[in-house]
Amino acid sequence: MKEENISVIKIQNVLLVTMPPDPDDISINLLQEKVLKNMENYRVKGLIMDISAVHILDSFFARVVAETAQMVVLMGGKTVIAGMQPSVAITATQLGLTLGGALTALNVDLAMEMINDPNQWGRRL
Amino acid sequence: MKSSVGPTDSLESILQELREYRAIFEVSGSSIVIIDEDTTINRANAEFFDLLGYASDEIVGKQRVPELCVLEDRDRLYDYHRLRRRAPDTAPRNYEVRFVHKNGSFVDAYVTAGIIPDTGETVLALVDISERKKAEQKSREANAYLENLLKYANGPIIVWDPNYKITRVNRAFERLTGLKSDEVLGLSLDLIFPKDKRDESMVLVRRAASKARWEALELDVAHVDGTVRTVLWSASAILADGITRIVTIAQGQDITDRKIAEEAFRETNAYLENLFNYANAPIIVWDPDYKIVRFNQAFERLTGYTSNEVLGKSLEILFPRENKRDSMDLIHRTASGERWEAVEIAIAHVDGSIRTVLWNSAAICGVSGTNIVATIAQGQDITERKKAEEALQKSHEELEARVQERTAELQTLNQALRVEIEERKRAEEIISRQAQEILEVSTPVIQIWQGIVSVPLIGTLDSGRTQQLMEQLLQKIVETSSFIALIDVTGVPTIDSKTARYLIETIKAVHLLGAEVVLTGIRPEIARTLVQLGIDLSNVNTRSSFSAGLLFAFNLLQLQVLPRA
Repeated sequence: MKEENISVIKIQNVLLVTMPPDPDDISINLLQEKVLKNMENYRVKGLIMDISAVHILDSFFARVVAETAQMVVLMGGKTVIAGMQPSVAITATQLGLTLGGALTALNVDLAMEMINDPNQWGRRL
Repeated sequence: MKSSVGPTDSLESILQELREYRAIFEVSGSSIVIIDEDTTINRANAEFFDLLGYASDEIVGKQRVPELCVLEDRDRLYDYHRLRRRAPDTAPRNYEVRFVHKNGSFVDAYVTAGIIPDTGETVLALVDISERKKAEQKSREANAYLENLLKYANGPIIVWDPNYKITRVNRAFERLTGLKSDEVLGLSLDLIFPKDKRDESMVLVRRAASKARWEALELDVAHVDGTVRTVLWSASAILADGITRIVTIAQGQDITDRKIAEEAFRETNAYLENLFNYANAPIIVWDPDYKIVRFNQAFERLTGYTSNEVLGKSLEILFPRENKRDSMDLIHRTASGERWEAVEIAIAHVDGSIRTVLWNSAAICGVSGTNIVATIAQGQDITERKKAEEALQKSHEELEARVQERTAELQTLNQALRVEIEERKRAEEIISRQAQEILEVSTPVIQIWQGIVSVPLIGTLDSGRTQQLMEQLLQKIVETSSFIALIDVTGVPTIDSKTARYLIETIKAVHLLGAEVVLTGIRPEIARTLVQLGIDLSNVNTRSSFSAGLLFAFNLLQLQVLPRA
């Protein structure tokens, strides 16, 4: 997968990343690099990772997501993973995967609210 | 020739005497020849010339007597002549000499020789004995011939005198008895017979001897090694002057081997006879006119006739009336030499029952090998077998019928079974569908408010139900974009560690979606169990009742339920 296929968009004070359906290891690493670079360049409150298209979640992806979330937290932001498919959620729990300090939201809308309203309910997983 | 001449005799009387002697010389009837000292013929009478066929002037004074003899007699004659001169007493007066007739034939003569006193002359008187010699020769030859015949005849020959003393035996006889000829000569005839039969045999011999000849008298003869040979004797008495019996000559023929063969034949015959009579299989023999000639006991049993009743009768009487013609046709075919192998012909018993018999037949040919003198047939009573076969066939059919019946039954049963299986299958389908339905129904996920879904758990949780619950719950959360899921465990009787783990998994999955879980309906006994099991539910919102959970949800959603003003 090429670099351009993963877009990191800044909307207002949030970085939005939409994951492709079947990301490979290289693009995942690229994604992390790009996200951290953008965090440095823009003053944003957090990162929203939309994985609604992803149907298969492997352990490497899960680990990179968790690490990225922690890195974003270290840089003073929040990470919200939005739109996880039920089947992915089931697989993840059965494998015992965790997403580090990332928050989860049902969709990108709720994720935006979650980032803008720090008092809003939300939970670190 | 001797004469006494006295000094007193007158010349006349001498002359007279001379004439008398001359006449005697001429008419004596025998051949007389006077020879000189050197054996030259001096004088001979007419008989002499007739005897040898010479004329007087051919030999008188010219020929020596020995020269007229055959070569082998000449030296003898010269010897006699010389001997007569020197010692007249030792020289033979009479001897036989063979002369040669002028025509070359031999003339045997009996010679009487004597010296004429006071002279060198010898007088020879010859008697012609040629005929006698010839007869003798013939007789000798015949004798030798007979002797050889006797000696080397193949049959034993024995000759005995009127006192029954053995006078001659031949070689064949020696072979027959093992006795040497010189061992038996002069002994009584009875020694040739076996000891225990001597008297009896001699009686027979004597009786036979009253006739001049007898033939084919069978008498046993003992061999020295103890064996007994049976000999057929022919004898003939040799009579002198036609009345007196001189000897009896008997000639035998050893028939022992023939006797043995006859005996063996008789035995074989008896054996075959018995075999025939007592064979288990019925056997019958008929002649070319289809008349029964033999009938064995098995046949008697088969038909109920006795042998005597049927002998000489036509074969027809043996067959049942209805197939008499067919049977007789079959039998006529055997006349042309056809053989039967296992031909089935029915035979009637006198009591009216019919027996089925399997027949084999063979033609018996005469000496020439072509004309049929009789036909022999041997049967095997297969009536019982037939019956058994029929019974077997019948039982087989019955069995077949029964098998078919059973097969039909089984097919029916099979059909019923298939229907039943079909029904079962349908029932199973229904059951499984119902089970599925129950499973689905058992976990109804309901949206009870905008942003709130709830699922009341009833009954025991297992992995299948947990899976079902998780899928439906997550699906519903995503569909309705609900933030809060209320899981009510009021209907769950007990919670053990396994059930707890299932719950925790579900809760984690919901969290991954970004929703909250409120576990409600934790009754005291469940709370106790969870704590005792050491299950950590610290990051799960839990409430005791469903209503408390609902209230918590409303708070979380910043909603407020107020009575109407």
